[in-house]
Amino acid sequence: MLYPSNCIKGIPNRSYVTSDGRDVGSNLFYFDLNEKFGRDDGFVEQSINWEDDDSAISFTLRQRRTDGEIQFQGGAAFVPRSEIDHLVNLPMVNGSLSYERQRQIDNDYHGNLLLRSNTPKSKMKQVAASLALVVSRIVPQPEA
Amino acid sequence: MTTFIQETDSRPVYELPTAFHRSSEEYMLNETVSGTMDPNFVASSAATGLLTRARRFVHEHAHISTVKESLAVLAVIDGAYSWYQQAGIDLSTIRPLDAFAADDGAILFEWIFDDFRVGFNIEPNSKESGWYLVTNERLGDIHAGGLLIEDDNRSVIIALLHFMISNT
Repeated sequence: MLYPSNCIKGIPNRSYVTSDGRDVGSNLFYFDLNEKFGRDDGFVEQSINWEDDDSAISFTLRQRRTDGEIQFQGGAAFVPRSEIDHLVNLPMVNGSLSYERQRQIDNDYHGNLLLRSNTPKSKMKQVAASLALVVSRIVPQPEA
Repeated sequence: MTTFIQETDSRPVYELPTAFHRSSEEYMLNETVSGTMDPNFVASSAATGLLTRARRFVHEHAHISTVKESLAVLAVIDGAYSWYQQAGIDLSTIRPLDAFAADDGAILFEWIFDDFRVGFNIEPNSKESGWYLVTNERLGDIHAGGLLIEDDNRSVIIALLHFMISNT
């Protein structure tokens, strides 16, 4: 399967972003390890969009929640796929991290970052920090 | 009346315990523009603002189960800052500590740099609270971490500060 160079992680609100707008907290990339969110294949997931074309970012920033509000009020963070691949192959990550496409009816760009559900919480938070570390840029919501 | 040094950046300065006291006659520091730092006095690291944001965040956002441990960790960090300042180490390259409230109820403190991150996650279950250091490939792809042990965090925090100072 072909993947683009970047994935896009929506930022729910500005509390995830540092005051200077340059970085995101690692908690943006936390996985929920609760058993009820585990998949049959042994992974837990967190949603991303793939930057398949020039419209992906604007699509992401326009996404709305079920209550009609903008879903990613904090903007969006770009994560280079090459950096994720590098992380996946590190001995200390040891294949516990992966990614996939998962097109949805209303979202052709949708995918997931995946983490083994038996990953200890402390390791999960290190992986999340590593993902936050390789964020290449942050795009804020355009001002109304 | 206590003698003190007033610097133009207005950091409050406090006198060290008497064990370190030297004769005040040796110093004539009455300048507001420049002067020599008197080793009998050390600037309070808390006043530099490196921890102000994090402390305020704890008071405004932390769940009751994490407040005490969060403030305890910040106090240890403050002490570690002072230790380095007393040694004359420049801390100006250290960014202020950022703070975030995680969805799982934890408080996350992070120093965020271009090539690495140092973090402390203060969990509602204190037995799960921990620290980590992750770096990019340029600094060797370090993935290190451990638990935060009450009353025994000072050495690891000093070591993490040493890493930060060495790599910024």
